[in-house]
Amino acid sequence: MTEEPTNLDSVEETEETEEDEEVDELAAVTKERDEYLDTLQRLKAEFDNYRKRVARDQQELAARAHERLVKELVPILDDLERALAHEGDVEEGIRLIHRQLADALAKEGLSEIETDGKFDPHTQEALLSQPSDAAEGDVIQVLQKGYRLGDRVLRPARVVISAGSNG
Amino acid sequence: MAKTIGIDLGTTNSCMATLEGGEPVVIPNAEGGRTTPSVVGFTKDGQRLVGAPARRQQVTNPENTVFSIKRFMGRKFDEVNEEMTIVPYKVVKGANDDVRVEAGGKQWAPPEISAMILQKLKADAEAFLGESVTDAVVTVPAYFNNAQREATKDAGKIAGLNVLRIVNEPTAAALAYGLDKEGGDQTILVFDLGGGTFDVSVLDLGDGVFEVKSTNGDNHLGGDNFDKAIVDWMIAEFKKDQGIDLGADPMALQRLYEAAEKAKIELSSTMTTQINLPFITATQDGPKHLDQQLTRAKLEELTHDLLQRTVGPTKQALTDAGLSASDIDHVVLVGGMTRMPATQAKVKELIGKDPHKGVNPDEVVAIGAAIQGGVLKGEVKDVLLLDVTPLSLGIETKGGVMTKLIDRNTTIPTRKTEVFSTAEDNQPSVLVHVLQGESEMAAYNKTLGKFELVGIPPAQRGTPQIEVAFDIDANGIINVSAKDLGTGNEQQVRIEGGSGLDQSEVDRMIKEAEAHSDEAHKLRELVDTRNNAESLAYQIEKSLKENREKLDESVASTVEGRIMELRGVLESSDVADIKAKTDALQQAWTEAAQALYAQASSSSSQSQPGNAGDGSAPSDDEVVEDAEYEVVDE
Repeated sequence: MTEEPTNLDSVEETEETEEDEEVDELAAVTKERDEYLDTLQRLKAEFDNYRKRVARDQQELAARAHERLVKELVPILDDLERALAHEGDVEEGIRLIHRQLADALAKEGLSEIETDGKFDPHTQEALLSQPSDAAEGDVIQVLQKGYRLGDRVLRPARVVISAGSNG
Repeated sequence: MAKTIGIDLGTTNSCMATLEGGEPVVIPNAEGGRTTPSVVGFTKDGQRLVGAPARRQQVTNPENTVFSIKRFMGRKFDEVNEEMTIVPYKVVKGANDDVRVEAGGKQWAPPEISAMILQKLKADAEAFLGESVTDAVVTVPAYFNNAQREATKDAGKIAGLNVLRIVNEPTAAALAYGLDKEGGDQTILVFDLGGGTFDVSVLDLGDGVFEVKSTNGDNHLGGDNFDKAIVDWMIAEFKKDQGIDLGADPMALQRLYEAAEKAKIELSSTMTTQINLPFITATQDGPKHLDQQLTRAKLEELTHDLLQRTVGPTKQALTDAGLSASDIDHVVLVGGMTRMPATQAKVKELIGKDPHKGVNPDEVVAIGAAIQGGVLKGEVKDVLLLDVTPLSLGIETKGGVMTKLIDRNTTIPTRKTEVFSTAEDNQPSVLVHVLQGESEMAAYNKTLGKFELVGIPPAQRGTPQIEVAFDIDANGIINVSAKDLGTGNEQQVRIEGGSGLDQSEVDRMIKEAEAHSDEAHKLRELVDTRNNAESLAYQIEKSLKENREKLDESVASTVEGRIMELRGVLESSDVADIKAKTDALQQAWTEAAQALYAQASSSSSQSQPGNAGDGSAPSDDEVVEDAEYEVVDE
């Protein structure tokens, strides 16, 4: 029995130290949490600002890309004006201008969509279907050419397709 | 964490978005479009097409091309008598009197068709994001009943999506504008004029919860009607002029529709547009061209009756909600047609309030759905909702110029440092004048604080390195410090509530900066020119002193004369004169420097003439100023 109080004391003492330790630990963890939150907030803000910068850069880039294309088109405008100022037959001249324009656009990655054979809704748009001798679903007339820019369909080809011979 | 996508599953078009780093972004489809036509086609050879390709083969395969499936979602067969006569595909009665559509030789429940659209969106989103997507928030019109909502959920399930929530379209639109963060009770009117339908909804927002007070609309009013009105006018005009009916020619009609849509869009920003369709048709007399002018006034006249059809439903929605126009706190616009100035004017006339703007009205619903998805997934945490600086922050530099360190709209917390230097020889201190605002000149901006960093050891101008750091924490508290990197001396100031300007104050300051921008810009140019000239004169004078004995007296005195001349005009306000004299001095010194080089080609130490050579002479954009960032190359 005599030993008991001593034991109790020592137990209490240990508890006190534990509490102290807990308080210290809590303070440390709180501090750590605040630091992490700050780091996270700053990281997110930085990402946000980075994104804004990228968007701005992209806009500038797009404008510059534009500039390059427009530069290619201006001489064509000049030549068209020359054609208009000229009296008489300009067909040959127009043909040359057309080739100039086609070349300029081809350089930018423009290519014609092929339209022979079967109708392909991924690259073509059907405006009409008509009875014809061609197999059903074949393209029989191109009303407006279609174009790809790079590997993306810029404008589908507008076509008439065959409804078959008895369709 | 797997991404959640927000999907606006529309009657004519669908759109999807997701959150990237807390910000909503629209996900383009595989074809590169930001919206996808809500069309499913079944070709004769058994292919299934969704989106633009399905629409492209619609004309030749109408009975197997399903569009507007949303009109049939969750409906009973008896309820769709009107709708089923409009669509070219077959609508039949299924089990439990449900609607079934017949296409591609099979019967489909409407959710199955919708699922095909969702499947395409899901696949395209996965390709775009580079990860698998399963969680989605899908929007529906506010008036959808339980069966219609269930059907939409089923469509998601069939498509392999875990639909976290079905959200009302007007609620999503309000979320996209962040109206849920306004606090307090808000009454919101959402005006949605899309491709083929018009919906108006009145929402009540309290404690972050949206409640639909009333809805109304017109199931068959939208952009398509407006395009048709323009095309009809074009056809009538052409007939009047040329006596030819373009309406009979499918290719011409196609071009007319494209031109009409283009003209309509253009007239949202200009007052008049030229519709130019060369070789639209041909007769025995040769080719015919269409060249018509359409004014905004004419467009508004042509579409007046269509726009007028929005008035009744809007008024009815207000009445049903038991409100008058003045009770509405916010107006939100949805759908491409709300870009038309006449539509916006009509809404303003009806409600008497300017609508929220800024989010693309074609995408606003999908964006709101993505935000809702982020909230549900806990992605949008309050502690990570970050503010931006409403105005730019910087310090005053030589000549009263404001040098910006942090641009407006920068997300905070953020930190930026820049190294400045002194403007005078043996300058003992620098004054750090912290400014806020958009003007290039300090005088037009707001002073936030001032402090002096003293004890700079005597040195030539431009030599001391003073590092100025701006740090704004997440609460907008700004700490500005200046540190002499030579001595380690540091001073700082803490500014609280620097970002706590109210919106009207911010707007006023931006407006004022704009109003003064020409004036400030001229002043800035003058200051820059002066600073540049002054610094050049200083540097050349210094180099001249060091090399005087190596130069011909005539050359040296020419340089000296030019320095004097330049200094004589420094205080004038004649920018051109200062520039001319700066160039003259530069030229004189270039000649002198060449002479020096020629004289002592290899023996001379490179640094001295090089000092004034083209390389290190200050150029226009590298101006030396009091506390100015200097390239310190040693």
